Amino acid sequence: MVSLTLILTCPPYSSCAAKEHLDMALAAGNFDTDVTLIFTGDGVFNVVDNQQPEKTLQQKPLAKTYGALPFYDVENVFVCADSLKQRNIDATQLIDVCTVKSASNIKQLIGDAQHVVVF
Amino acid sequence: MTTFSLLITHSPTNSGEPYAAWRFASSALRLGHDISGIFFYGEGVHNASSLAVLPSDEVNLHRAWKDLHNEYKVPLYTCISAANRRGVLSEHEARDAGLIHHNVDTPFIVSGLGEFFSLLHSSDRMVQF
Repeated sequence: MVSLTLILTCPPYSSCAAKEHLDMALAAGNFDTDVTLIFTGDGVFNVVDNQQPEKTLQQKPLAKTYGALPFYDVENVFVCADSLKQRNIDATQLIDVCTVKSASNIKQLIGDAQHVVVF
Repeated sequence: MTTFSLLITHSPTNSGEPYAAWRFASSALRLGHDISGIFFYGEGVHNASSLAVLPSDEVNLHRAWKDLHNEYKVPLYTCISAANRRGVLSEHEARDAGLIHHNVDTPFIVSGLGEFFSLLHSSDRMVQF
């Protein structure tokens, strides 16, 4: 089994990065690829719960689709604790599918990864 | 000998990455390594547009990728959804969308993300630029 780690460093709604990161994650399961998602830097804003971008930004919240990740066999969804702290986001504000890990744990995960793509 | 695949996620006009990728690919092939394919995703799909007109003393990366393909037969794949949302269309997609113009021609192949995963599975290393 090939494993692929997809790192998201971009915030939601300001570019296609988050959407294309998610598209790649959802496709991975169809192609015999074990995927790990890492949200770090401004990427952590993507997994904050209760986003309502429909009216002001005319965009759909990706957080809902993230909720479906387990149905696509994406179980490894990690969020950088240090990035959260820097942005004053509490772990309780995040969607359920995430596991918070320290920056050093995230660094280890990336070091151990077979393939990495950064968005 | 190593088999590489390349993932290009930057456009030639907002980053030096695609040029670095082209130099990497050229060098690797010249040294006898193999490149199973190059996948253009995100902003990288702009590399596939044949309608970029550059001053003659600047590097035209679109042409450089074509030359690389002609010399080494490296497949050049462009992600269809990433490309279409950025106005990078083959003749077929342009016709489907009722548009007159298109800017993707052979040897660039418009494909789904499946092609990226095929490359991932068939190479020792995937390198992102």
